[in-house]
This record gives sequence, C-alpha cells and structure tokens, in this order.
Amino acid sequence: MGKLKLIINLILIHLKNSFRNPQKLLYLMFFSFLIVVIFAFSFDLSPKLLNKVTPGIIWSVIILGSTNILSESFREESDNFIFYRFLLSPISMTTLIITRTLSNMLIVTIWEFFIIFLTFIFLNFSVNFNIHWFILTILLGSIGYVMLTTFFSLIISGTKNILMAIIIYPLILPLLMGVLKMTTLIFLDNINSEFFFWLKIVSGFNIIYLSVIVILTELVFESE
Amino acid sequence: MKIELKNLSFSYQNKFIIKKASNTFNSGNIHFINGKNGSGKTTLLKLIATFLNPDFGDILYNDITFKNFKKNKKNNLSYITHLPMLYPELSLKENFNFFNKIYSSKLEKAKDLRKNFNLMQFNDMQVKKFSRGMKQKASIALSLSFNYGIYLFDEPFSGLDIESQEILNNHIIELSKQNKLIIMISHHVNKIENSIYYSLENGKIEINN
Repeated sequence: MGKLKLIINLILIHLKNSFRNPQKLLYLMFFSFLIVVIFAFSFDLSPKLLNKVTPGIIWSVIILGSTNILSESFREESDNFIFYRFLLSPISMTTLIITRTLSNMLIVTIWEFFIIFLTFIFLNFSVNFNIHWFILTILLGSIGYVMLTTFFSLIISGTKNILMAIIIYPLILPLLMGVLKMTTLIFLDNINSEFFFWLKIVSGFNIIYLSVIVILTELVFESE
Repeated sequence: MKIELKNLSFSYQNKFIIKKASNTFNSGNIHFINGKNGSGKTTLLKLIATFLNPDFGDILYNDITFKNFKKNKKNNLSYITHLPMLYPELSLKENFNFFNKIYSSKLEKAKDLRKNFNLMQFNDMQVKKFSRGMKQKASIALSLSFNYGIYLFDEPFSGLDIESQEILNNHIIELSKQNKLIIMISHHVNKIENSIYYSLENGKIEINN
C-alpha cells in the first residue's frame, strides 16, 4: 500500500471515529458558546478596546477547550488495546502521530472558525482586517499546539487529562504570546515589522516542535 | 521458522519474571506454555512479540537478533489474545477493511474468516454493540486473516463458546499444517498432534511432554 494512501486511510479512520461519537465535538461547541456568551454579557467594551480583548478571548477558548479533546487523541487505541496491532504493522509511530496531528488539525480548524464566527456575532465585532493574515495566524498557532498535544497524548495515554495541561501550557507559552500579538496587530489593521517579527518567532517554534517530536518519537518508540 | 530464547531475562519492579530462560520453538509444532497465574506466561509472549525488551539475553528469529527483528518485524508476527483490539465506533467490516489495508493482506481471506466464525450477519454493526465473546471472535478472525510466519496466542479460548472454540482449534491445526510457528498460552489444553507442552515456573521454561 502506497504511503500516501496509508496516510489518507489513517486520517479518515480517525475522522470517522470522531464524528461517530459526537460527544466530544458537542462539548467543544457548547464550551465555546458558553465562554463567548459570558464575555459578551459581562463587558460592554468600546470598539477600540474590543480589538485588543478579542484575540485573548479567541485564543483562551481555543486552548482551554481543545486541551481536553486533544489529550484523548489515542484514548480509543489505548482502551481497546489497538496499539498492539499498530506495533506489529508496517506503520511507524512517527506516521501515526503525524496522521493523528493532521486529523486533529482538521477538527480543531473547523471548530476555530465556529468560535471566531460566534465571537464576531456576540461581541458585535465589525472591524475590517486582512483575512489572509488572520487565517495564516490561526493555522500557525493551531498546528504547533495540536502537534504537541497529540504527541503528549500518545505518551501519557491512559493517565489523567490534568497532566496534559501541566505539560503543555508551559511549552506553548512562547507560541501563544506570538499568535496573540499577531492577532491583535491584525485586528488593529497594523501589519508592520512587529507582525513579521512575531510571524518568524511562531514559524520557528513550529519547526522546533516538529523536529523535537520526530526525534523523540524515534527515540521513545522506534529504538530498542 | 525458528525462535530461540537465549538466557532470556526480564524483570519488573526489581523482581525477575523471566530468569535465564532458554528454549527453541520450531515451526510445524504447536507449543503450549502452561504455568500458574502470574508465572510470566503473558510477559514471555509479549517479549517474543517485541512489545517488551529483554533485560538480558536474546531472542533469535531465524538467527535474526531481537534488535534487528524488532526493526524489521513488520508483517511477520501475529499476536492473538482475548482482548478486543478493534475500533468500537466502526463496524466490523470497516475494522476488517482498515486493518487489512494497513497490513496489505487479502480481503478475500478476511471475508472467509468472518464467514467461518459466523460473523457475516454482523458486518455492518458497530463493534461497540457486540458482546464480549463476539468482540473476541471478531478480533481473532481479524488476526488470523494476516498471512504470517509466527502466531502467538494468549488465552484465545477464554470467553469463547464451544462452537467458536472448535472453529478456532481447526484454524490452529490448519496453521500448524502450513508449517507456521505457533506458541500458545492456554488453560484450555487440546490434545493436538505435533503439540509440545511446556511449563513456566520460577522464570524458567521446561518441556513437559
């Protein structure tokens, strides 16, 4: 079986599994809805202040909401002993982590646009901003975070979710600072050298995360 | 095909479960390993399956060392247990199709095995709706559908009804006729021709015949 076909199969099986058990997806929807409504009814923000506060709301909902879901990325495999099948199959653990990151990324991205839509509606956010830079920022912020959480969910599969927050939050802090700053600059319609500085930082962290994950996976799972 | 244990040792929490065990398992025979609960039977099977790493000693697979076999083991070893090892949200057919695709094995054989184990009428049912015994049957049928040289069975009969035990027994005999290497842990000991019986006690493996 070709490598690409194998990857597509692994992604599809996870998506199928996730959408057939909608509890987790419903949790994401209700969680984001609740947080956005709380913010919308708690503050009466001026448009200028709204531009500065909205990125914080969006990224808080994304990080807090998805930690629970992503930390259970390999729950099915762990609870049902499916790892035994993967360990004896031609699939390497690196391939498994990368494909699971991609399928998680797809789910999280769809959900992120739902959050953004909700935020804009409930906070009455009506500012012109560069949509292309905004999408790039959301994707760059998510990929690093999803990649790390997916990797650690394999390492700690079977243990308590709380452990994930303790491990992940300090690691993603630089990435989070970068995307927060970038989102604020986009909403202020101020794409300047500062924005590109943070873009480089965020891209760099994504490359570091990916490299470390690939190396660690080889060390932990593929070596003797 | 031949598996050799060479002074194999494995410890857990400072206690040796397997202690300098040595033995040779040849294909064409069915190797039954017996022992008390906690004697290390499953640990031994997991070591042979490369899920665990030995502390000392080696396992040779046709003279290939444990380290090299683990790297290149893919597509030559099947581990069959009473555990489900299936995606509960997927249907039986989806599980079979998915695993047969990633193992590059023939779908026809998988279909025959589902027929054999009387599972065809449950093809479109989600595995989470299966009883424990049905999950076990499905998992065994799936593991048997891969054409391997080594088959490791860990208590495959426990929880199966008499009819399914008989079907599985026939498959095991068939595999032994095809000169496959079969190692089995089971309290359900069948007197099958070409069987060799071992006992595992105090971390050592001894022939019982």
